[in-house]
Amino acid sequence: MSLIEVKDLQVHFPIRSGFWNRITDQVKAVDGVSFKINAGETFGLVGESGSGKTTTGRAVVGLEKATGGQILYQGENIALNKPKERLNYNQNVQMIFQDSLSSLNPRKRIETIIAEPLRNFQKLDSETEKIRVLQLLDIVGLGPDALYKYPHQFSGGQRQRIGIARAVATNPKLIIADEPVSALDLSVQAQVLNFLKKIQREFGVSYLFISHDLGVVRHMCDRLAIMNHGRLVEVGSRDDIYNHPLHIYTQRLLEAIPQVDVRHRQERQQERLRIEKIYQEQKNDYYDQAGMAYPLVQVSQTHFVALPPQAASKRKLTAQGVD
Amino acid sequence: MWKVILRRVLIMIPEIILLSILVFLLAKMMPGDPFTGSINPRAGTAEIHHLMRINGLYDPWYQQYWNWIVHLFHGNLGQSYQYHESVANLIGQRAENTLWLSLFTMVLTYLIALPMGMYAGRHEGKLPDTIIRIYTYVTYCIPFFVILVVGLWIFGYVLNWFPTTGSISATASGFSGTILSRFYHMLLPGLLGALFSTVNIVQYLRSEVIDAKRSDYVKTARAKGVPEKAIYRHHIFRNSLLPIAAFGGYSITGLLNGSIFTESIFSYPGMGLLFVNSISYRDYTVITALVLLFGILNLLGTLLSDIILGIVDPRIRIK
Amino acid sequence: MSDQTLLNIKNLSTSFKIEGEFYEAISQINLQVKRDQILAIVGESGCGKSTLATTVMGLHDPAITKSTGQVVFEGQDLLKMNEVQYNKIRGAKIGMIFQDPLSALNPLKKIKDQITEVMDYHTQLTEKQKSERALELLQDVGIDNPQRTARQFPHELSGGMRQRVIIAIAIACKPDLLIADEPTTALDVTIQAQILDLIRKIQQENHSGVILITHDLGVVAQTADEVAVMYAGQIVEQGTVQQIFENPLHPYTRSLLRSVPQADSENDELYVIAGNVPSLQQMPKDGDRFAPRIPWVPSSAHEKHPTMHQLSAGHQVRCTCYQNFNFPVAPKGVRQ
Repeated sequence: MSLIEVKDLQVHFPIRSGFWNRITDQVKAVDGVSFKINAGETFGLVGESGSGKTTTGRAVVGLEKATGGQILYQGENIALNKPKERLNYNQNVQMIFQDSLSSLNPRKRIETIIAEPLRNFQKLDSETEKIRVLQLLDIVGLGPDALYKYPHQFSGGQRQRIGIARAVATNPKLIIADEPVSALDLSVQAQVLNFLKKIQREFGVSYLFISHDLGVVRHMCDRLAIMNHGRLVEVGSRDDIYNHPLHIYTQRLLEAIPQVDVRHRQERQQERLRIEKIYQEQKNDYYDQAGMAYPLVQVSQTHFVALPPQAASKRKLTAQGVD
Repeated sequence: MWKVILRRVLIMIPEIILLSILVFLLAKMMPGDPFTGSINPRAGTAEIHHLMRINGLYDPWYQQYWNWIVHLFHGNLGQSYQYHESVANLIGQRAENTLWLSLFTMVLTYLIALPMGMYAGRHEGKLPDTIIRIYTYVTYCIPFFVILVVGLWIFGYVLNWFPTTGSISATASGFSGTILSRFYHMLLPGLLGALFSTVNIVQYLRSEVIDAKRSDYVKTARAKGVPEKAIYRHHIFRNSLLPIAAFGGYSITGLLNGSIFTESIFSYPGMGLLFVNSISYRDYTVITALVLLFGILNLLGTLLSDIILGIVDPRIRIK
Repeated sequence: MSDQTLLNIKNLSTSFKIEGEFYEAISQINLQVKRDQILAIVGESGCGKSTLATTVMGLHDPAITKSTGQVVFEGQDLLKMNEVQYNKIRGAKIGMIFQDPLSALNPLKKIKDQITEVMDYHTQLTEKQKSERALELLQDVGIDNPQRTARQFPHELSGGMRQRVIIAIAIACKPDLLIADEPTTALDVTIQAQILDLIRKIQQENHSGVILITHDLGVVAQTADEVAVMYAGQIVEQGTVQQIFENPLHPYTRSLLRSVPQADSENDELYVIAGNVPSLQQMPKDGDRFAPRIPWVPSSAHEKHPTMHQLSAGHQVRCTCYQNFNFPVAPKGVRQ
């Protein structure tokens, strides 16, 4: 059984307009997203701005109300949970935010910030609590002198590590990391990514890693999903997505990443322009009339693609043939 | 745009109804009665009870409220117990005086505040800016009525430059004579009022100009080779004046509130003075009418601000 | 060769006044920008790359800034110019593209007016000609419906469209030099690719020179001809894009390249540069500024006063420490 399973998740935001300010339309920020995350794995959620990836993450942790669908945590639908069970879920699912400055209360000392989830979920005496906070700081490579400082006294990378320490405090099973390194410089980014991996190795935590950076996601994730206009267009293992992308959107996204490879830049540019041309020609085939991606079709053990109906039926046949 | 305005106006209707109920009930809850001080002091309680009864003051509150509203729609705001005159007439005369004084104060305010705020923002940290800031802080610290009383004492009584009471001198005659006399009477209260109300605008405008100065679009303009003067004219001032323009509607609120102080200290026969007098005489009909009027004017001021903002700011205009 | 040089920066240093004292944000910069060339300036935040750009553009408040050295553009030293002379160059001969396309446009002005404004000060065109040229420019930067866009306000456009408008403004007077400060940082990768293609295309058509300021090594590798790597206000390595990426020498360049997540690094720890970038106030006066971040390299390997060393045609490295530099076997500096 997977740790968490998101089934047909929908988050719609109403648009109000007209004279009576009635709901006249909806923004389908997330429209039928399904995925599973296994214990101890990192699942990447990749998309461009406005794709709905952040909303998905916020809905999973409960910061956004789902319009429809289910979120099953260890097989239980958390939407139906009683408050007490809900508390258990909140303790086990934590979040790391992109903007480390605004997600840490500027008026509170680091000790209080990190101790807050402990106080919410575990009743510890002050001595044990302090030891625990020091342990947590140590996990993210910060010394005891950090305890009595305020967030603004730290660099961006250090603050992000404090955010990680806070998220790890309650020994969660799943951490939702929303663009955790996109505001950081390259060398600091490397450090934060290393800490995330180290924590996973030591505590067996799973990550839902939300990012627009395909390079970082490749480094971090075992499996990933590509999101576009509120739907998943492709889900698969790292190898599936990076080496055998099938959806035109995924192909285009991958080609657009600038590589640190000077020797082949001419060829890469040609390839990118070729894919872009195909994308422009074929994009209507890959999306329905409302501009939404088609349902995912399984094409191999691990690989799912939102192929147009015609291609999908062909693919299914071959997939069955393989079986 | 029209739809938005219309909707805002419609929303105002329940607001006004609620306001009127509130105003009415508050007036009812005030202690005392309107007759004790105004009739023969030897009159007994029985006589007062009788007067209360025939004036409908013992009816249930909703009945009184309903009567009041019905009369309101007939333009009948009731009779002032104190002045023995119809409230509509009473307010009408004074509203005109208040209108002129408020308008004059507003014009003076902007004439003083705009150049000051723009100058202070542009030459931030220089000596004139420091002086302007000290002026705003000091004025901000002093209560409004103290400014008025001290101003009245110095310029009115000690220096004898301005009249100290009334809205027009008894000897004024002829068209231009009347206007000049009115203007002369408004000068000191208007100036003192403006002195006070500039503070907010100066501070606000100054910080808007400083923000705009450091904004990226000003950097873009510099990178275009636009001369400094033109940058201030076309980008910085224009953009910083936008919220100030919207402020215009709200400033009506401030002026009306201020008129209560100004008019009672200068014995200027406007709505503010009437209001204060009516309270001390428990003249319910006048108080309720005035509070309702002030309330409605404040609502209109807010509406006006929103409309101005909607017209000048394209980000809000597109609907 | 020399007549192809558009911009010649000699010993340029810029200091900012912080709490009454001046601190150097960039020091002793020497750079040439030639026609038909994209020079990338790459470094992390706080390295001075943006200060360099804004110094060339003269966008600093003279009350709190001090620049020494020379910035020779087409034979004239920009640092010696007064505002009037500078304004004849800015927008006309040097155009600038900014990082955040939303805040770089005036929210209260129509797109057309923001484009024609630059022509108001540098051309003799009539209003009608200016409007036509604005539409032409919008077309050139790849906007599908120029008439419509010209009438719109910035908030009505997408991020990519706004950046195209910024580019249209920058190239309106066909400048010889284009300075792009993190032009794609705020954009999605697919839009980034289009914008970089556009900058490249404009540069080739106008035979102009481009200074591309970025923190993104991938963008540099895919776009630049020449590269200058900056660290703590100094250029630490400079060369052609091939030299920098295929034969990086300075420890900082090599460290940066090593901390990029690569296709084959999936299961490895990423390399972390020990320590922090020194702040302006803490900048060491002497010695190699990068030395504290490679503590295992003996101090004898560093020069006392590090200078740039010419290694091969066009390839320069600061300090001699690169000769003795090797990465530690077990990654150091996970803890800071």
